[in-house]
Amino acid sequence: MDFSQDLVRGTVVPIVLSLLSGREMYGYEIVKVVNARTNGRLEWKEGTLYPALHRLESAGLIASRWQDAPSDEAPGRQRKYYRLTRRGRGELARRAREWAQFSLAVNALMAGAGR
Amino acid sequence: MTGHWDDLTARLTRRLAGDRELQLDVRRELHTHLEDAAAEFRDAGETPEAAASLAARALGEEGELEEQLWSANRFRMRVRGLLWWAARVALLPGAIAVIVLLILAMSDGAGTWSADSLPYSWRDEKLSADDKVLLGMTGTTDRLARAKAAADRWPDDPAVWAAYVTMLLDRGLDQEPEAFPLEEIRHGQQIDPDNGWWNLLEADVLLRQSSRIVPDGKLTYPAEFSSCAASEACDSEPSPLDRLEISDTETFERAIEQFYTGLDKPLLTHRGIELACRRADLLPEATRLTHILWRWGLVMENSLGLESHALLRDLCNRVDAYAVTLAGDGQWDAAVAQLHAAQLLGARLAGQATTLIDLLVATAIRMAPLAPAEVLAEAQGHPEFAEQARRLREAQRAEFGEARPHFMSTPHGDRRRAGAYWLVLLAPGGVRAEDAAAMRNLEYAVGWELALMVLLVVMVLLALLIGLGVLVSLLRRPRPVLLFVGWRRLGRICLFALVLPLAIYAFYAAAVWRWGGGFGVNYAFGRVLLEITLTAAAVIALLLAMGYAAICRRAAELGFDVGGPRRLRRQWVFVTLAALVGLVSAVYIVGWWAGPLRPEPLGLLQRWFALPDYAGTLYASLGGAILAAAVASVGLLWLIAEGVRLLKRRRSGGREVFRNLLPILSAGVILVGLACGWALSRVEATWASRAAGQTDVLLLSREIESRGGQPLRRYIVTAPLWPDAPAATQPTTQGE
Repeated sequence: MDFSQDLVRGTVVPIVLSLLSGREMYGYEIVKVVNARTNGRLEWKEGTLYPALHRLESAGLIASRWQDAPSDEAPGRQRKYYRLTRRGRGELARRAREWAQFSLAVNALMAGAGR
Repeated sequence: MTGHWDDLTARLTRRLAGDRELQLDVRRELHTHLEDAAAEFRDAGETPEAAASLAARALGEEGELEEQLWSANRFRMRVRGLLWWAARVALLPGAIAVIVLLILAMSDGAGTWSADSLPYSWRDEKLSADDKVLLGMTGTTDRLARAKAAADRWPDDPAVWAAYVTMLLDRGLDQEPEAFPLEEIRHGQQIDPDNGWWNLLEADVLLRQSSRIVPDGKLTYPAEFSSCAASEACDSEPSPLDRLEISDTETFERAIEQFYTGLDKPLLTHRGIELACRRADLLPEATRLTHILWRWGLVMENSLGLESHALLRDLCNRVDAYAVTLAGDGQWDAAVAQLHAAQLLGARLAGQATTLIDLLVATAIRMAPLAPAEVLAEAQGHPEFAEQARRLREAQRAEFGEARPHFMSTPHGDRRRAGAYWLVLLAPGGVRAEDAAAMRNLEYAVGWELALMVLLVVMVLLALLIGLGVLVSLLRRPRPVLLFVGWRRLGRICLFALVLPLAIYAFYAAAVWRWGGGFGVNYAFGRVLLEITLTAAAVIALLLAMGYAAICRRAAELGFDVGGPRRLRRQWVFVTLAALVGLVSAVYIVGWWAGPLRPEPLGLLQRWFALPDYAGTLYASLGGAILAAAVASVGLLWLIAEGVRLLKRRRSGGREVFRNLLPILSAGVILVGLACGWALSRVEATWASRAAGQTDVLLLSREIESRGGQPLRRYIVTAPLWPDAPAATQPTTQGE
């Protein structure tokens, strides 16, 4: 099932923050992880990720640094890795609570709608 | 295919062209994304061309992505643009401003001692007009005019009036007797009736007007009375005793009357230290070395009473000469009484002496009558008196000879801890190491400030030189990109190139300060200069090398080449040279602390070749200075060689390196200047406030005790006067 673009766009920020809370990741890696974990159901246009990352970086929620790629993956190349900042962790917690409340509310409203 | 992606990423980021570094950064990021995506498509079996095409398509619609990238980075571009503008406009001028600020702070109060050049920090202390008059800040360089201004303002103040009269006496003893300020001295008697000092001054002026000293034709001092040291070649000719030739009996009698009146009064003081204390209380706290010099100049003016001391010495010479005259006229008892009175005056002056110079004058006055007394007693047929006088004279000379080394010379151990200020200003007197500690540390603080200034000036000169190159390079297209190397790298540069070397030196200096014996800058100049030069060279070399490496790495992240940091092995000439100079410097510094390269070992050479005392210090200082110059030369050569190398690489990013080193150097100057300047000013203020109390009036008011003069004072006050002498009475004059 394809999700609407508005829904997908609205979830980019919490998803990115959530993924970066585990470890540093580079842009293409984030796309791959999202696709892998959602079995391709959350189909992102890869390019849309970067404006989102840049916005988060401008807001101070994430920080980036160039780092050598692992030699077994792409020897001699550098990638831009993103990590969550302290402020980003706070934002992630807030978003998680918000999402939990929101999904509860929507589920309560939608319950029985499909019967 | 890379060319295709270059075009694509260029199109996607063209609206970011206002911030070239950001544009390059985003392009590079998109580029790596495309490479990763294409690699995966290739791994899935696609041809390279198809993989590249699929990777580009997966990125999304081009126009939409371009818009989103612009929108996402718009705010960041504005902020960065503002910061870059500020960095370009403010960093280098800011660095220069920091240096100017530090120079102004350091030179606060330097210059002439006038009200116009008061230390800046003292101007807010609201010195009143009266305070300035009392301090002698009346806008004139004429000391007499300054003293007169205060005397006119407070004509009934004994201390102020005494300072004025002292300045009037500054014209010397050779002037005509009528030119002495008799009226002013008499005014002093009226406003300070308990102080015999005024009467003694008047007595001498009147003696000058009514008599003159002439050599006695018959009586002479034996050659062994000469005060020259045994090792010196003395004139063996006996010198005649002086006697007094009275020309105006009435005035002479008034003079003798004034002498005895003064002798009977409870006080005998020129009130110099009293005035100095009042002046010192007016002055704000010293926070700079220049303030100490100010204090010294303002507080100590006319405070030693030197001019009046000359008059008192002359008075006693005349009294002694009068005794010779009386003895010649057959008034033996009266002569003895005169000599007794002169000794009594010496003892009383010694008892009330405040400064060392007061005590020395009193000692001279106390000792002077014994020689003529001995000669006169022999001549008049009083051998028992002569013998007693001889014993007293020898005992007093021995006592003085024993006391003299305590306050007239400084042991070598103390000299090397005294510091330059003490040895220059207080060289004639003895200096005790504990007295000099605050001033010595203050000298170090000022020395470090000067060194910091030199370091900052060198860094700014380098920045200006680089800035000139940047200006030229900006005329050519494409303009070199201004890069932000990142906070992490900047932090690393700051830590390893600035904080660490300076902290290591500060720790070393503090350890030396605490446990190293506290050698003065005058003694350790060469070593200190070398240490500071090594630290400064390390800071500049590390700052440039780390800054260069950071720029190279950042440029590599953005995909363009500026050459990469040079490996040490490629710079073997400089590395070898620097290692050699560093090794010799280390040997010198270790040798200095261990002893062999300290000034003392020259002692043997000094004895062999009869070298002067300062030769050892000069030798050690010269060694340190030569090594410091060698360190600076190697550093300079390295800078020139690296600069030329970068200039030759016009096309491979040398210009980028220059352009980006400029803000790093400027920021380094601002950081080091503000942090170290503030820290050193606090150190200087701490020691200045401690030294202030030890360098002027407080020091002088207790210098007899602090310099070991107390036993001499005790002896001079309590030693027996003329033995079995009749009470000092006013004798009849020759005319009666």
